[in-house]
Amino acid sequence: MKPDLFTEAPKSAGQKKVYSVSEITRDIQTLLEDQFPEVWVEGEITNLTSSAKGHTYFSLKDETALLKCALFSSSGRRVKFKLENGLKVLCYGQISAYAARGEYQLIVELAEPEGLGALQLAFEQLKKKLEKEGLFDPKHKKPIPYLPDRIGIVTSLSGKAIRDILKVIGERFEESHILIRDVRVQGEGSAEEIAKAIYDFNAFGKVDVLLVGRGGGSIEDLWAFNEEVVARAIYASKIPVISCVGHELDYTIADFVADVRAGTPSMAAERVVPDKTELLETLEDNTHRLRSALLEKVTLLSERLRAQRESVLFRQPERLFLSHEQRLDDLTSTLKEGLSRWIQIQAERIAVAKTHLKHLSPRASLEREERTFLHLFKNFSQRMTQTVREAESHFLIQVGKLESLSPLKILSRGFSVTYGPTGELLRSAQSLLVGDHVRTRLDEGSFISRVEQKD
Amino acid sequence: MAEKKELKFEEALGKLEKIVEDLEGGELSLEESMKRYEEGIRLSKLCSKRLEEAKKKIELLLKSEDGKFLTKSLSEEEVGRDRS
Repeated sequence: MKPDLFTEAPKSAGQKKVYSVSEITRDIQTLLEDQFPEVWVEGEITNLTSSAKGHTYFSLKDETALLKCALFSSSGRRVKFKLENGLKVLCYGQISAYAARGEYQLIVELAEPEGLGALQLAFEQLKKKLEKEGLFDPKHKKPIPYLPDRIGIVTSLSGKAIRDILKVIGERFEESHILIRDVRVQGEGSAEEIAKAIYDFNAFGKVDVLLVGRGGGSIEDLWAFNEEVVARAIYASKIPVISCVGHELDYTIADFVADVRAGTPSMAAERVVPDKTELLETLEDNTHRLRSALLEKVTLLSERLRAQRESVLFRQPERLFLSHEQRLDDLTSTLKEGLSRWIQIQAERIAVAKTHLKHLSPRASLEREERTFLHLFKNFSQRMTQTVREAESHFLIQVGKLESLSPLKILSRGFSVTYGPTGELLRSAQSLLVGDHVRTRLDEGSFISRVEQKD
Repeated sequence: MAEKKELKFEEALGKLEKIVEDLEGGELSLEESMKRYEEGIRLSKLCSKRLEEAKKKIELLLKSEDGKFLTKSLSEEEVGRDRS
């Protein structure tokens, strides 16, 4: 040991500078703050707590050391992701002393997760949280109306998205009723504006579908749609929501919560209204098919009627003449009645429709169609009458043929037939007894005679 | 008939399509066919009416300070222009 060390080291109280605790602490504080005004420290979060005022306290540790950290709420707002124990982070700030506890600490101004970007981590964290809560559950997804009466849109009136949406809706179904709530879609407070607009539309109530979105941009530009307030508003919406944020490859939290996610605003517009031309074609096709199906049905029935009559006529001519003729008459008159009643109904409906039309928008095309149909029915009715007439004459010819074949026809040539006591046609005298009465039929008239003798 | 007016477009179109199918199946009686036909025509008119009566309208939804909603008509030229 060098002697000068001994002479300098021990000093009496009178020579020594005496600090109060506050003084020494203040000097240390100045020293630390001057020495470490801006530092980046890397470590793993531990002992994480937060105060009612929104400040967050934690420590950063590595294998051998621990550093106390404070993240005050003013800086905390800039940290988008959630701090968690065990998370490896990079913190930026100033080393300072906390006089009241005799501790030094890092006053954190910025924090970034290691590996992932901060926004990406925030996205993953919120996604995990909301997924756990069931906000993405398919069972909560509401169906999108096929043809909405009114469409609500939440986006910026000056953005590209609204232009794209209006353009596509104009192409597919121009006569749409659109209501727009103009909101900022990026920057501080934009998420709150978007969420409020969604609540507003729900309070307004008169739209049956909502489009929520914006055009493409960086992850920072799209960030509002990754905020919890927007996710909650979409989830709470009674009106079905179609999200459309950025480009096809951009997925936001809003997309997961929305009832339907559209890749772009244009795609959302395509999803929200059907193509009017296609719709009109479908409608026309169905109406046309409806008419031909009915006409075909009636034609088929009339043909079946004729076929049946003919076949019956040949198979059982002697029995079914009358009943069949009667049936034919019945069916013919039913059919005629039915048709004229039908035509009358149609005529009445046209009359009603006409008076309606005077008050409403011109619906000339409908009326024209109705007239065409009425014309078709008249044609049909005529054709039907003709068919029946043809069938009748055919029927009479068949009756004539049958008459010529009838045994009764032979009588006109001078022959007669005799019926026994019980009315049976006699072919042999064997069964007859003397005294039996028999009836003989001639071509004109008949007479009764008694058996006097058998040969 | 009043409740029928509430029928949504897609429901009316769906019903019409089903009726066409039934009629084309040809299994129905003449009377039933006519009934269905008439119902089909009614549905078809309902759908056309909805398509014909649709009107183009673009509006801005505004909220007054006392929380009342009002709408303001917009022309397409006013939309999508950066007015900053």
